[in-house]
Amino acid sequence: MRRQHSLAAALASCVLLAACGPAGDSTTTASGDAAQAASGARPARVNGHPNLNGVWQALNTAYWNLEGGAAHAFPEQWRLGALFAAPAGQSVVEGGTIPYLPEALEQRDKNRAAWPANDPETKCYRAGIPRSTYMPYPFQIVQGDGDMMFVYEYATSNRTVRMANHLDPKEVLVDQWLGWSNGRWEGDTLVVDVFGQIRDTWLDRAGNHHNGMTVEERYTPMTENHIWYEATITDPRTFARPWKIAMPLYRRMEPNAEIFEYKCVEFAEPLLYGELLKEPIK
Amino acid sequence: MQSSKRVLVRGGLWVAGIAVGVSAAAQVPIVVATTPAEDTAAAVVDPNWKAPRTSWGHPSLEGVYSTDDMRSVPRDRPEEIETREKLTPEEFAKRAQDDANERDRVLNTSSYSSNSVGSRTFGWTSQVIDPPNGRIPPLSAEGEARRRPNDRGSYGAGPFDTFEDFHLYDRCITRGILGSAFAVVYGNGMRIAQSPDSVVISYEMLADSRIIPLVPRPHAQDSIKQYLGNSRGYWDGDTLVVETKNFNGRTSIGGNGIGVRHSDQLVLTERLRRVDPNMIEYRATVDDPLTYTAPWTVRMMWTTQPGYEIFEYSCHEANRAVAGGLGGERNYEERVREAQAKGLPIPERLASQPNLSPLPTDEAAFININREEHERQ
Repeated sequence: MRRQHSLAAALASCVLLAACGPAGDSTTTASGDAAQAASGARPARVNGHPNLNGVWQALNTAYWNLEGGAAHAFPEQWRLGALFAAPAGQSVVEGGTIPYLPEALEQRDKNRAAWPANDPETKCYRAGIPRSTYMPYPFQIVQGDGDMMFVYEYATSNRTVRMANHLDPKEVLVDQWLGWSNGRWEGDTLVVDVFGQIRDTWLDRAGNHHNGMTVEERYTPMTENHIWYEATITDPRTFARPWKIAMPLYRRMEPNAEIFEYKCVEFAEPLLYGELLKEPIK
Repeated sequence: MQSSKRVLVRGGLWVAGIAVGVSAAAQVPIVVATTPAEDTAAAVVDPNWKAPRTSWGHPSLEGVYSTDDMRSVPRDRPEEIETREKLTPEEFAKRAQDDANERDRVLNTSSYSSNSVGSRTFGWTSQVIDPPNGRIPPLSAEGEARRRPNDRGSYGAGPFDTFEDFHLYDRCITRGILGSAFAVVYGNGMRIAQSPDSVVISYEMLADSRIIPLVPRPHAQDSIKQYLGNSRGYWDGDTLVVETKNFNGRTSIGGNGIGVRHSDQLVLTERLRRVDPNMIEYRATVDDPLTYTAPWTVRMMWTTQPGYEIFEYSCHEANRAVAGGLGGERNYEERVREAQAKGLPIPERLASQPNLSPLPTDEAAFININREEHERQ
């Protein structure tokens, strides 16, 4: 209660000063209360459900390889020296490894050999779900009374999570890069069923892939500033059985945290079309 | 699930995305409007009407809207109408009949190359409401100086030598804020989602989105300049006011975001107010002295459309416009070199013609691109 009281006081002073955060008075920014105030008073619940609003980010190596591994360089990228190598990380896959069917495992190895050229991320293609969740960019959950939006900084992509008027997966007319999402609350856990995702996309930079998966995501608040994230992936064409990844998501605590544009199309154009320019990029 | 018919043809270049169609077997009854739609808004009919509220007490803007109803309202008012903001009854009757004819064509007649269509007729003479003549003020000298021969990208005739010879829409990067709102032939949807501390406006075309923080916090540092700028919002009574700056000066204000670039000093002030369960009045004031000789304000009504569904317009993932334009130009150069080597006449450059590629004859190939996939499941 005391904390809430001082929070309200900080917010009030913030409004009076009409300028908070780093560009305002640096002495107020230094206090935690001011930090809270700068991001607005945050109700614990919205419409009776846990308030997941905020800017979130994973902090692990899942975007390099869901199965983890030792630190390693990419010999072809030698010009970038120590700037560009994969750090060591632990597997986020329950049981450690992904239960591929034999042919799909061969495809994974082919993908890996063809990295980075064939990785959709290299080309700035939308990353799909769950890959968007654990890329090295923040995302924002926007939760009100109805449908929710997840806005990802990477490729400025977004998806709507339908909390009502759920779609029947069989009625989906077109597959989408971020699929279609039906959401529901199971107690304090937000459960999202994702289906209708574009096939043959990748799950990380290590060539892990799917061929028409469905995903059940579970977002469970651990504290005000942590969410436990789980995603169960089902795709009988690719995997011997459903399998699960799990990781914490961290609230970006900067008082001025927000999503900026990572419109990466222009970063990928030289790679995709450079040879067609009047003065080709080689 | 209902879906709107839409195809993805523009400037003669094919751009990928999702093409979805449903053949209209049953004839849709067409009604000719008799009252301007703005006069039917709940807040006009009943001055005591209050916008619905979110559970935390803000006016609710949530929903899926489109600017399809604005397609028959010209952006700039015809000069002869001068300062009159509303059509005369005769003028309105004609626009209502034209709208009805267009609805009939799109919904009941056209089978392939149809566009989006609205469901209401508005009686405004223009979307620009300030200055009083309803026209975007002339460009300033600085603005004129920013005009480039390749501003029109693939709508122009090239040459296509660099990425900058395409506009940002060709490249699937963005149409900018106002370029995403001006109604074009399809893809005019937008979704608004709301939380206690943010409002998101997600534009259908290019699947662009902006987050508007509702916080008493200054804009981001000046060095973070962005295509859609950096927005801050607050509630002024029932009106959401959004102030946006930090533009990177690479976008333009026009249909699909095509035109002369505005400056990075643009300050855009938008006002969104729900005036009806199915209508949001949207006003945007453009203040950019480095581009226009005066500030100006545009007004639109964002409206719900029956059965409207927003699909993920994943443009870049299958974009052929940039590779096609560049590749075509290189191919032409090669043919010129060959002709010169053989002493033959210089071949005609086909890109000078309005349409580079003919419409496909196989309609099925462009409709429900994943149908086969789903049948396999």
